[in-house]
Amino acid sequence: MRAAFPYLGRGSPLARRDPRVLILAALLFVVGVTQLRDARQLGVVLILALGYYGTARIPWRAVRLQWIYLLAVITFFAFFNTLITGGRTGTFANGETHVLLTIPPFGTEISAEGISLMLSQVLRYASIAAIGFPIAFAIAPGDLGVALRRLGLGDRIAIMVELTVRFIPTLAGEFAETVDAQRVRGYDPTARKGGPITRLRRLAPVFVPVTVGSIAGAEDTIDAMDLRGFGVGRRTWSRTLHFEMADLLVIGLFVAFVALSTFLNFSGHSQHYLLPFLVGN
Amino acid sequence: MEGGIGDPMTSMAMGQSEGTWSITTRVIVYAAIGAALYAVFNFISFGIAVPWSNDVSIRPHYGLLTFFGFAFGPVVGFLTGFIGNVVGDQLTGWGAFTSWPWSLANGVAGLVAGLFPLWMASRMTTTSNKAVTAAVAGVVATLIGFLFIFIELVTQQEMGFNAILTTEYIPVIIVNSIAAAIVTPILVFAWEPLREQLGR
Amino acid sequence: MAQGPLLEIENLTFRYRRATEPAIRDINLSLAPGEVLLVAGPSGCGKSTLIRAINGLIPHSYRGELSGQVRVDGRPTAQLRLRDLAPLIGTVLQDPRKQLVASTVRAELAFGPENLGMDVADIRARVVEVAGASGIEPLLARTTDELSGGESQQLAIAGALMLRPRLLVLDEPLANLDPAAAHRLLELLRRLADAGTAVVIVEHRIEDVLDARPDRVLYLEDGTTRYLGLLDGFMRIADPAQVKVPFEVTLDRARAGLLKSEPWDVPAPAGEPGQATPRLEWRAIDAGYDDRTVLHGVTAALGPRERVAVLGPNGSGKTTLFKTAIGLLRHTAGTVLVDGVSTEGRGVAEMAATFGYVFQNPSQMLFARTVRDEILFGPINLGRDPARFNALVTTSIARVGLADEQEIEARPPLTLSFGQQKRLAIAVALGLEPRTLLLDEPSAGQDHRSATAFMREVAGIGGLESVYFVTHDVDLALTYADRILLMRDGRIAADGAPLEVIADREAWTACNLRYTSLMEANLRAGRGTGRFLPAQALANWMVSGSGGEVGGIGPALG
Ligand SMILES: Nc1ncnc2c1ncn2[C@@H]1O[C@H](COP(=O)(O)OP(=O)(O)OP(=O)(O)O)[C@@H](O)[C@H]1O
Ligand SMILES: Nc1ncnc2c1ncn2[C@@H]1O[C@H](COP(=O)(O)OP(=O)(O)OP(=O)(O)O)[C@@H](O)[C@H]1O
Ligand SMILES: [Mg+2]
Ligand SMILES: [Mg+2]
Repeated sequence: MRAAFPYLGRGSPLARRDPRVLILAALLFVVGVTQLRDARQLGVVLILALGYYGTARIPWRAVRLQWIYLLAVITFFAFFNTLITGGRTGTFANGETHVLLTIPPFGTEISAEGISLMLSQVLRYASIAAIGFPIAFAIAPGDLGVALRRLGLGDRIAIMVELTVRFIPTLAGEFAETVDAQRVRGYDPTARKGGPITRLRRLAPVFVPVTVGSIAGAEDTIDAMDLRGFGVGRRTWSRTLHFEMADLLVIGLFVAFVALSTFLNFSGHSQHYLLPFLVGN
Repeated sequence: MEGGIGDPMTSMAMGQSEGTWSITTRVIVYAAIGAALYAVFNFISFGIAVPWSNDVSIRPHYGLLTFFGFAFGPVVGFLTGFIGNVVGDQLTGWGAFTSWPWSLANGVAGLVAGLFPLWMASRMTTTSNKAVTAAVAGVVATLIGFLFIFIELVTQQEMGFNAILTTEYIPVIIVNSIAAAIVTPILVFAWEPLREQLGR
Repeated sequence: MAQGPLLEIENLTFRYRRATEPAIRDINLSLAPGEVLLVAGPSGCGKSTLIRAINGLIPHSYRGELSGQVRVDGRPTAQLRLRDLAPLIGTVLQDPRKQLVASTVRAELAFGPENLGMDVADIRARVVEVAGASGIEPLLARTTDELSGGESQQLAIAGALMLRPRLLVLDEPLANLDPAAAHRLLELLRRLADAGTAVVIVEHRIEDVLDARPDRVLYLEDGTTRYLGLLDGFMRIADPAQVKVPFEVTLDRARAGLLKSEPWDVPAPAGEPGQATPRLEWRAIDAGYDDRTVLHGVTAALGPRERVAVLGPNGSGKTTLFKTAIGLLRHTAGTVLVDGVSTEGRGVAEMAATFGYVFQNPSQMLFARTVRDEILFGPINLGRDPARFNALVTTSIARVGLADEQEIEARPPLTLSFGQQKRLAIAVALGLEPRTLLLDEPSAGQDHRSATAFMREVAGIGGLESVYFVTHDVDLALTYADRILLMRDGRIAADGAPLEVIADREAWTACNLRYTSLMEANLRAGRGTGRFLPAQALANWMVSGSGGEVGGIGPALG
């Protein structure tokens, strides 16, 4: 638990980049990829995104859980939005839909268009996730605050995010301690019995001490900051950031990607792609 | 919100009068703790997905943000919800996929929860009816705050209004209202007596 | 350097907004540059409050009723803003971990100067300079969350020094340090004082502070000045029962016949170790976290009727050792036996019937709305007989001496004082009717008197067969244990009766432990008394030249 929010990408090519690059890259990428519809194009994008992800050298073991959960939810997400609720199958070239099968009782129609939509959604979100991971795992501790500051956030908000990240491992540790302390009293944190209300109630023995304890401790933190003159006038940041050639190159690539996808979008070269084998031609 | 930590008035004012909207050191620290707790608890309880909805799960940590809003004011509530959700999404691997409408919704929920004590100050005489108010505040804040996820109508092309309503809004307000109604009062009951002692 | 006093306090009285009584009353004090002032007094006497008044948190951050005046460098703090005070006064708060606000050690050091908008180059230069002066260069590359308690303490102090304060105030700075680290810190403070910085140290372990050679002592009792003057003057009036003074002082007191010869009631040593099957036995245990092994082949057997203290430097594995005993942490090699039966495949809850485990920080487990619910949480979880619950609650509360608190059963646990919370934590453990108590740092965060009283009460709890405890308070361990386990780097460095163990000076000092004046005295008298005695008892014994009051008065175990 102590290892929550670990710096897994330490020393990797991506971790050596200016932290702002990782954040900007992700934002740019979202802008670009949400303009693409064609599953074939999105497939290519995913492969490139995974290449970028690879340069962060995040050990698979450490993030296996996150990926599985992520992919599961993405699929769910796409499944419901595009098949069950019909999504916006109308967005296909010729509004028609090829119904493959109908599920009782509501006569929910599974259409070729729906499946194609689902595919492109899964591809899109998987690639966004791949680009996003490095923000959490390849930015050095203490760099996030200054990065956000230099991206235009105010001192106070930047410090607040910095504080948040600083507290996470500590609180995770205290959480683990508390769970131990309660297990000694016959408390079973893994118990899953009962409805949501019982299950929530059962969390109190862990929730309350960790929360109330950290709130009570906040008094000292506040004092420690006030006593060192925090919060009055402009503050300097002794950790300075400057873009190197490589940083600009990376950002350049992402800008180019946005430009390209914007072009494809508006020139109509990225229409939804109907998987041919589904409509049997 | 420059200035003020130094001079007694603002540094002492917390959750009331002109201090309500200023980002003092206390606000920053409480919000940071709230957001960190939210992220940690989210990280720990992530994966308990509710089958009939997408990225919504039994979210005990949700009760935290309504509590932080309720106990420490709207600004703390908003930052706890917004930053907490973004950072939490980073931890669980969502990265840039962090859904901004959702983070915003969490923030607004925390903010609304933080407005109640201002409106209801007179009502909240005993700890118990403070706890009841907290539960109500939590639920109302949820219903209002999560209207913001309909922004997805703009940001996600495939999503129709019905899709968001049936697969996102309704499930999330059910799960979150329960969390808020249960967890917020529990925390109020635990914190009230202590606040009485620590209180500056 | 400014002439005249740097700090002046005149008739200072302060009452916290929600309190009925003032926390400090009519304090008068003045401090010159280069002076070291030691502030001592029992828990709750107002030490931290005084510090808040000095550094301006009172009145700037704490609301309440303030009269009198505090002037720093001739200017009243009430009229200065905290940021104007920041460069003048450096403060180290009671809990170091809570005041580290940055993720990395470098950023933590830079925090103060950054807030005051100092030039980046200057800040960088200062970081190097201060890190060097306070001896924390090795930490510069680390992140703050991986620092030990001691390291956090050192960093907090360095952080305060970054603004080159002319007055440095420290609230119980030694609490988290093992003796070696404490010594280094006090040397540093002395150097700063010699260079003209005024230093205020709050600490009730007087003997440990002497390395900093304080010029004067301010002794507080319930908020008022009991003594203000030179150190040796204080030594003459100090009550060894209240504060921990060098043994010689206690002895002089005894010689002058000023020492109340209250019958000292450390329970007699319980039946010889190992005669019965051990209550708890580790056989070649390896254990650790993630991929890191902390315990290396630990082998030890603790008797069913023993009182055992585990001593060792920070991070040596004491807590980890206890956790393996009740299965909170699974060992990777070897076997743990409880009453001769392997713990393999037995759950934590099952162990609870034998061992009551009390964690270092009580508030870590207190969550219920009332003390009663808190105590019954365990019994309910383990499906104990509800018919006996009332009796269970009352006896547990009585055994830890909380019975005479106002309607204690209905109190919210978290509103109890720290000392009371520690007692409640034990009551909670007793609620499961264990035969052996495992205590992690029972004395931490309590002053000398309450810590001693606390251990005495624990030792006296009826129905308990044995107590095993971890502590950093050497004298306490040696006094209240009839056996010492010395740990170092996850191995047992020594194991035996107090007097045997401390006789081996290498082993002792190798564990960052130092020899207290009481230990030296006991070593000298050792043959005579036959066991390790607390200060008053030993002093009286030496004076009366006989084992007079010595011996097992008070409740024996089991
Ligand atoms: N923020 C606060 N609000 C109200 N009362 C307080 C506050 N802080 C301390 N007190 C009370 O003021 C008195 C003095 O507390 P203070 O912390 O100064 O004692 P102390 O000497 O530092 O004790 P310790 O040695 O345990 O740290 C105590 O009775 C305490 O309960
Ligand atoms: N939950 C944990 N996860 C990872 N490492 C841990 C954990 N708990 C302790 N450690 C590490 O194991 C080592 C032994 O820790 P332990 O708490 O047993 O030492 P200790 O002797 O109790 O120290 P202290 O006197 O400071 O309490 C330390 O280096 C510590 O950093
Ligand atoms: Mg104190
Ligand atoms: Mg320990």
